[in-house]
Amino acid sequence: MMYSFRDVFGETLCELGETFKNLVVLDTDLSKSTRTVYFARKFPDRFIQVGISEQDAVGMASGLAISGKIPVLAVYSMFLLRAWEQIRNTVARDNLNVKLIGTHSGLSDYLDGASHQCFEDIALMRILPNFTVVSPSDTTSTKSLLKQILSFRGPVYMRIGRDNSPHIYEDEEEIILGKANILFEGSDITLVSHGAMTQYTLEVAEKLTREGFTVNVIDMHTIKPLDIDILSRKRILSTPIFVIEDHSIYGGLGSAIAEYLSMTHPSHVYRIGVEDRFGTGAKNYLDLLEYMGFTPNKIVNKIKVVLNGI
Amino acid sequence: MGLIQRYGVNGRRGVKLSRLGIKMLNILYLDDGEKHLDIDTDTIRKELEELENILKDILARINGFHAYSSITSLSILYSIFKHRQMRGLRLDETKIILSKGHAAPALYAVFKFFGILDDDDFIDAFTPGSHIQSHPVKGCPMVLVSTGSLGQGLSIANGIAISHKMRGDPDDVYVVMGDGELDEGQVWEALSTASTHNLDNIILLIDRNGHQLTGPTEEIKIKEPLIEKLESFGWMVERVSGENPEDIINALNSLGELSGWPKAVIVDTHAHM
Repeated sequence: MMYSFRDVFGETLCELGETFKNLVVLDTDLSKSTRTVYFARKFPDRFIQVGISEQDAVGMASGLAISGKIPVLAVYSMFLLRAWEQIRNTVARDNLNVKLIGTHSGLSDYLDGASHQCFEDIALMRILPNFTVVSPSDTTSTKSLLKQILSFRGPVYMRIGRDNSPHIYEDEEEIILGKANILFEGSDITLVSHGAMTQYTLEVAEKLTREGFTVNVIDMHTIKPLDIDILSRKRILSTPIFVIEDHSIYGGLGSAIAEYLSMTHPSHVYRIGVEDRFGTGAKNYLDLLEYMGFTPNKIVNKIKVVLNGI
Repeated sequence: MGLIQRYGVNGRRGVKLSRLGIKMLNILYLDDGEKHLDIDTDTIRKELEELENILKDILARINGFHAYSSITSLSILYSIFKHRQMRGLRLDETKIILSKGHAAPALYAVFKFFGILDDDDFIDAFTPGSHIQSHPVKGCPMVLVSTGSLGQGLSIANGIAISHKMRGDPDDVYVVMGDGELDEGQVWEALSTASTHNLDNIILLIDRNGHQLTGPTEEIKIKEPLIEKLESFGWMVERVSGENPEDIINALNSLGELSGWPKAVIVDTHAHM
């Protein structure tokens, strides 16, 4: 059953407001879209409306963190990047306990089109010292990782999609920040993904399995720090590695894995992502995936082209 | 101008004291009441002279890097600490953000003068890894946040001010901003945020030295009429001369008594060191 990333984020934030008394939520006039409006209704005294001013909001979140609060700022990933320099020069440089949530990331904001669709956020956030970068793949991991990022001191960027969140994990399954989850084990091909693309990566794996391949599927929900233990396993290194993400092929998880393996275990890493282009508007999510080349069939075809060439 | 000014911005309407009103309040209430400050002009002149010498020593270590901006900020930074000292407030608990981070040498001079930094702190100053850098960095005593990139200090101060309000901390938050910084859009976002949230625990001091990196401020991007601009954003504003620290101190004293609105002191400064 499909659920919504932003709904589960908004609801979980509300629940966590009970536990984390220092949690404050900032908004840049998007709370109805990011679902922080649930928190605003329950904890009006801990909800700060900053208006459509992302740079100001990042500064305020910094000030709140300096004073011992745990500020959560949820903005569309695209528009959070408007304050990248403030994030770099204050939040990252002073290692502040600011939790940035980039919503509507990747291809998830299908209707809004190119101005709102963000394929650059992981590249820009993972190069920042001190930052942790996470991208949960479903409802359970969104809940679990949100709680985990509030539980430690330090700056975090969490990337979530708009709606279209699957249910990959059961509630009791363990999702640990910094430790990737292996969803399938095989010996021919490794598929690595994060966030909203994980569900389609699982479909890709099923299709490849039907064609006789055995496939590893890794949900790399924590992009920084990268789980290098899992990447160093023989079972993974002996296969071609495909990284599937709704992010630019430059600077995303694919790049992070290639950077690491190029030093330690030179391997074939193929990046399936947005190929140096902008998005476009579509009437529904699946139409956009189709157009941008992210439906399972299209991904399978891309993988087969590579495999035939090896 | 009347004592009361009509006000309507940010979706709120009301009245607040005009600048004349603030002055009247100062005369009627402050000068008669216990809040009156006995400012000894001679002491202030002497202390400022001593401070200028400390600043000269610091600037000499970095070949006068951003000297102009440090020199014009000196009386402002001094006045903030002097005012707190006169009011019996703890100096080491001063919440201050130097938004114009390039005036850090003036901040260090004031810290040294008031005993927050001592000679030992300066041994490795401006060398790699030192907590005394040419722009303030976290790790230096009293520095709440690293600055250096312009136009960001007020937003951060607003965040601190809101958390003070949340926990009932009566302390004010001071921001020292340059006039060149006013070019940044974020400053105006933050000015608007402060009045929207009634942050009357914010005191913004603008070093109106009339210069920015490549020339006179009004040639690069027009800043005036600055009083009117700030007032229209919902701030209580005083404008004084930086030549007389006692005027800055008096402005801080009178504005400090007022609640309901964020407060700004525009300080017209000149370099004369």
